[in-house]
Amino acid sequence: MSVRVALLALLQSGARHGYQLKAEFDDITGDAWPLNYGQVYTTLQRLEKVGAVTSLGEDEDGRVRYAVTPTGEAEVSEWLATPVQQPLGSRDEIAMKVLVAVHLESASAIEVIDTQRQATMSTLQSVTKLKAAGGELAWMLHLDRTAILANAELSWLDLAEERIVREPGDRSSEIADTSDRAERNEETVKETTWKS
Amino acid sequence: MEILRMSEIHLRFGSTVALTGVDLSIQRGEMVALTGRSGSGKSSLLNIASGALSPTRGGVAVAGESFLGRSADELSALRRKHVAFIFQNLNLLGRISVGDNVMLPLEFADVSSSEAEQRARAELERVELGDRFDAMPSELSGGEQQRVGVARALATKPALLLADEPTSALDPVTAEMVMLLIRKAVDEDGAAALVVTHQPAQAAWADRVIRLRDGQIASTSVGLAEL
Repeated sequence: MSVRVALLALLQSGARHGYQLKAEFDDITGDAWPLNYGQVYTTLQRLEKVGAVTSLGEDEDGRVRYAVTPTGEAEVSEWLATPVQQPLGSRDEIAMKVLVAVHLESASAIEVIDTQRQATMSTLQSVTKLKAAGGELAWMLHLDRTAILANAELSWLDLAEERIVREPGDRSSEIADTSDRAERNEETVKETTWKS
Repeated sequence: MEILRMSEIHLRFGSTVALTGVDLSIQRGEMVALTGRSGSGKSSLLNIASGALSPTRGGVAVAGESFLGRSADELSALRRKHVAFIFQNLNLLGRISVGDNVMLPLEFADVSSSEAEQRARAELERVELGDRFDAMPSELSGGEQQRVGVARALATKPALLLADEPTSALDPVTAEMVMLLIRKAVDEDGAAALVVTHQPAQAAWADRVIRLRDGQIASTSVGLAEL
């Protein structure tokens, strides 16, 4: 959906052929969504069928140029004005693995959390390094978003671990007991914000 | 070159085990983050690395100099020589100027006053507070004071930089700036850094992120070779 509207949006500043569209798409998205020319071509054909673009025929190099129609422009405006509603229930695979592990005698939810945390932290470390190196606006916006999503996932994993080890009667209670003892004794006791 | 060496560190408080057999080595030009739940032992490990807390068993050496069998005076001399700290609450001295605060550890390290001033000015420049040399700490915002604290820590060109939750009281932009400054001290000056943080976004600045659980290393994350 977003590729289709992004192509329409690019055509608003003038008619273009497929190669130009692909190059400009790569440019504005900071190469974050690699497109192949075939995808651009089939999308343009579909857009032409529904009347969102119109073909202007071949240029001197034999490439077909397309222009956006009022229908296409209306689609772009509507898309930009409509907020994305994220579903309230989390159905992502990470949450599913943790939830399943909590209920499985043979699995440790804490181990699942550790494995995921390690992988997500590696991603966040790499993204942080790339952010520090700087770059074009589109690339930086993409990195910011990737970093924030990874950070959110790590925060959720931390919170999940806290909840699991504090759950009364849970088989992870052994972990909670030892760390609570250490907590009372450690020089600096830091309160987790959600607890207060 | 190995700057911090912690071998088989055990720590007990009475019958409670706080750290069990932790091994940690940090090289010159390397940044390590310590994360974990409250009570996981991360602050204890940092305090042992600084010599402020003695392990029940195990050895610590900074820049090849072992802590073992040293008096309190000898330990603080060793600290002054090799180690700098960045804390959550920096405790800048309120009665002396920002510049004097940064110069203070240099004077302790017997750097001449003209060189100390030159280095303090350069460090304040680096934290973008070059024009606040003569200001009093109370005239600065919390974020600016934290940056002065970073300048003060970095002015001594420490071999080992220890930071305990250096950004937890800061807004995200200042927090990022402080982490970037620590990163630069590691990358450009070759410091070794050990940073305790509970914030994943700050831990991610490190080359290695070590998670402690129940006083032991539970996992270590390094950045991906390719993204």
